[in-house]
Amino acid sequence: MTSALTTRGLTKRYGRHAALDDCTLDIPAGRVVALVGPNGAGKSTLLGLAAGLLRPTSGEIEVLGDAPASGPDQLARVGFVAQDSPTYANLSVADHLELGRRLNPRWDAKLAQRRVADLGLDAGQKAGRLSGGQRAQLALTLALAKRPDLLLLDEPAASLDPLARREFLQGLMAHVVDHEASVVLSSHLVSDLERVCDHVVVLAGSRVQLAGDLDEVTGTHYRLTGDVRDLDDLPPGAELVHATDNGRHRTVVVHSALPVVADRVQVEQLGLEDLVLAYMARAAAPTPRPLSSPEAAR
Amino acid sequence: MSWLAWRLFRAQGYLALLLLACFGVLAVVTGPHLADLYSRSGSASCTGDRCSELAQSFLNTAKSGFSGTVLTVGVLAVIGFPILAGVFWGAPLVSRELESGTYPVAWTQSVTRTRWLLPRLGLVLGAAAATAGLASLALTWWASPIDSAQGGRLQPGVYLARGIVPIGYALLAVALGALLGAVVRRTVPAMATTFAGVAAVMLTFSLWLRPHLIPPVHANVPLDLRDIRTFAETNGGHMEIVVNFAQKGALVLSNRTLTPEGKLFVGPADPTQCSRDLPGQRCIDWVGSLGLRQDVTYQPASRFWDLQLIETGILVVLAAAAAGLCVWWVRRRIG
Repeated sequence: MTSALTTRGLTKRYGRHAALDDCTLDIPAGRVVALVGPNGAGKSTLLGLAAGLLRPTSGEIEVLGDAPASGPDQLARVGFVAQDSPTYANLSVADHLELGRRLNPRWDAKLAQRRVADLGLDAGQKAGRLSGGQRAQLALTLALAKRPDLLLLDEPAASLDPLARREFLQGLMAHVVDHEASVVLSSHLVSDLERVCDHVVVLAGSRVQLAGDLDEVTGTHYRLTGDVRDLDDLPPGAELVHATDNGRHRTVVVHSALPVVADRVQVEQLGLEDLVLAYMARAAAPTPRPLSSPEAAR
Repeated sequence: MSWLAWRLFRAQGYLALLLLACFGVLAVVTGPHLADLYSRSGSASCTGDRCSELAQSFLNTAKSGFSGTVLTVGVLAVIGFPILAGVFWGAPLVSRELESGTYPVAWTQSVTRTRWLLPRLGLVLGAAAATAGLASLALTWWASPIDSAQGGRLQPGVYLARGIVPIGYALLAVALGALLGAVVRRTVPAMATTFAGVAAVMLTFSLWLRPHLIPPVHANVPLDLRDIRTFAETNGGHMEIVVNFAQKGALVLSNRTLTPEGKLFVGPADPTQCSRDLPGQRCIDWVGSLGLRQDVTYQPASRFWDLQLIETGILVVLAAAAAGLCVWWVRRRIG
């Protein structure tokens, strides 16, 4: 198994609006992938396509080497928790576990029981009466006990308070490490994911802005701060991501495979959050500023 | 998967069973009294002229009071059940999952959409058919004295609540509801369109299709003025005369009074026989002397089961088509 998720020119349109536009990705197996981007960037669309709930308008998508939801075996290998962690409001916690047991050949009943016990969920409680956080945990339990090779989680921690969110993600990671599953989790809060992920995909404006392993991504981006005149030309080999002017001061985020050296300019590496923000800002800007283009700099 | 299908349908299934049991008990408790009333009326064993009078007096008793209420409730229930099954069991089957957002749970277990839908659809179709069949059986048994006294069961209000057509309508309603729910994706609009759709099919069959499912019988008999429906004369001497068809329980499609030459009889009235100043019977006797004929096309009461079989067959085919389209739609068109 080489890739958890590959897409080529993947596009999903609703009428004239493209929710996901010409998305080409190759996410290796065994990674914990942070899928980040602003609201409406296409994160849920990409995950829905990967789970087989949505069908592409054009382009191709393969999940664990097969078309999504192409058959029971493929479905058994992919776990999915949709946004807002839907559950059957009229079914109890125990009913949900029974549902999971009967509908999944790889069901891990012990794991499910243990998680429900650890979380302190009352087995007889109807899912509709659980708190948002409990429901998220129940939905995650259903997906985890399925023992998937790939786990797709859409904003899994959105309904949790900060402490519960951290515990939730830690618990998730412990499980993933134990079971060697790949995970793609989306969030518009980068800080949630920075701690747990080792691969990042930035979606903005329905397009992929950035995709790569976390080390590689954070090691090849720099923030340059200095006087406008000193930053008119970018250092050799540096590719502009985004620039902001503040009076005579300019801040530039660049991508560069080589270490950046520049005179009279402050150079620093960026954290994931700043990096993602720079790519989002670039996607939000109508057109790139007529600053030195990467081509001109070479 | 069938476990989830049952688990999600359970409460509604029990409710249907409870109502069906009430219906059955009501029929069993009141049925013998009605049968007794019928045998004591002498209508069943009657021969001769007084028969229709006896039958009518039995019907007047049976259709009033408590047994009349039971009949009304029963007919409404058996005709209404298929519509309700379509609206409350069929329409929400797919649309509620889409609307409440539970479909990502259902469709990401290790079961394809088809394998998810077929047991759910099959269970509801089976439950609807069984409920409709048992309710119709109960009413058909309970109302058999009334139907015998009436001589036939082809009038739409009777026909739709007897025999096996309720099963056909229940199957069609559920399949149509499921299809509309999948296409419309919203529960309430799906319910409304299902209601309209099933009612439209019932009306279409009753008003236009059923009378022609089998080529109707044509009869041309001497006009019998003992049982007049319409006897009208306007000032210009124009006449309109219709007599009731002698065959009891037949579904009459057309009923015309013709001259011996085979033209529609429209008068003119003979002013020396038909006048405001003369006794009415004189005019009737005069008409009786003209050698007029009654020209009728009709479905005889004896075709009840043939018509039921054909109509149910068509409904089952339509239901299968709607169910197949629903499965295709869920597989290919959602997402």
